[in-house]
Amino acid sequence: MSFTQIDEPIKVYAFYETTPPRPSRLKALPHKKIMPLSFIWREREYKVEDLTYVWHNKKGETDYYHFAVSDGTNIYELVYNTKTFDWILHRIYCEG
Amino acid sequence: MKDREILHLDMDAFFASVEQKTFPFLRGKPIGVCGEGRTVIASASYEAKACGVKSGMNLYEAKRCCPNLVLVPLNPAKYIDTAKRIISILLQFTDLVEIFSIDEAFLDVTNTAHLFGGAEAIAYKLKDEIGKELGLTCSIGIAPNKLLAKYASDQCKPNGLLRIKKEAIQNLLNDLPVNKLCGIGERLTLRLKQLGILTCSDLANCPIKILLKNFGKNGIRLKNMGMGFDPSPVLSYWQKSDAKSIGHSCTLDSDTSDLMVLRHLLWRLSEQVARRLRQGGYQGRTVTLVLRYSDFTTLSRQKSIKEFIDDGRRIYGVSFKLFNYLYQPPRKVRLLGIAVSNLIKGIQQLSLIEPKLPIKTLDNLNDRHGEFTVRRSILSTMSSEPKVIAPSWRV
Repeated sequence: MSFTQIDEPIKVYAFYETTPPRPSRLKALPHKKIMPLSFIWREREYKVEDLTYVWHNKKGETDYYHFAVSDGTNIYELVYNTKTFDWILHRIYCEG
Repeated sequence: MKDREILHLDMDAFFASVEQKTFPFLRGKPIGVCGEGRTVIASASYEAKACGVKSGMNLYEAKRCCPNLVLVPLNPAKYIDTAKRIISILLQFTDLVEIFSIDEAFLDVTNTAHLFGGAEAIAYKLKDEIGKELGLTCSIGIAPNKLLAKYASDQCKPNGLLRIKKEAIQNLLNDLPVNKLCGIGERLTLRLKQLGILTCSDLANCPIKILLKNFGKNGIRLKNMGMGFDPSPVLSYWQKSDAKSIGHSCTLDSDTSDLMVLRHLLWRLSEQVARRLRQGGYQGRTVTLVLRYSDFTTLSRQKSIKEFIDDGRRIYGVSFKLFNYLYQPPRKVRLLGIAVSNLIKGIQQLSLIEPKLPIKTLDNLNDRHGEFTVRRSILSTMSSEPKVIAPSWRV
């Protein structure tokens, strides 16, 4: 497996869904609330075929959500900044 | 008094499974999750384990066992977040959830099992929810105590469920080798073997006088273990125990005798320890330095000072003196570690010589913008991204 670090801004088309609150003592993480459908990077549109994993991390006071999405060939790590509402393409992962 | 019902949940090949879920092209392949530079396998997929790859193996050994092994970089933030989501699932069934490690937890469902159809029903529900929520599998052991619940989960991996009932314990332990019990490692197994103790029943039947003579107070615990008896409670997730020490260590990418590199590392470790002390509201007065040479000779030395400190510069000052005492140039160093112990909490000792205001400002900035966004100039080349999972991950 290899990856290329990109860290460039992208435009994302996403589906936002309200899910019922979970009966959990910890803060509910909205992993299922945002579903990227496609994104535009360097003027090319990439259709998302599958969302394979979502995770959250915090840097200082800012929450980031990482979405690993597949276009059927590669995996793209899209990162959403909840403070600025910006998306970036963090990395592209390829087989081999 | 009714018997306890304790569950031990153990995620299957945790890091490797998370990466195979993230990257479909890794599924079904032997993968090893590892750090950067000089590192070991942190987690191997079951396909890799079938080739003999084990956690803790160095990369050369792992590749020799499994030439097709795919190496995948560690992603601590992803595993920590996944672990927190698993914890939120566990807490639906009981508050008595004790985190044993990032991928293991004990649950005491004695008083809540009846609400969910019993301990086994809870175990199946946990497996189902973790599978649906995260696409991962786990193995669960159920027993009257933590010791046996952990043994049970070990026996049914992967994706298994095993219950050990009270009446089955005696039979189970008769011929069970002592090293199958959690807490009895290689060295202790050897010491027990020297006393003629090979199985749990040997341990249970060994006169307590002999165990006390050879192992001190620990002898009582060992005898209990041999009998399958473990009264230790499952602590509540919400109960935080105070730290006894806070430390950081680092294995260098390559062994070195370069004093600039070693000093830089000492500074970095001092600042990391200081930051965690302040985050926890601790101060300490004993600094311990650990130094490991390239031939794995490991030395340590500690010094207690009069004042309680939580400042990186002060910690560096003490640890640098310890380093100068221990280090024999030009031997090459592989690892350095610093720990501060003898901790107090909540009482801030202020130094008239070094005002705390700049450190508080620095902490506030790093709280807002991320760890080590603002740092001492000597650490300007340090990456702010964590490469390891700190013990404070669950906070």
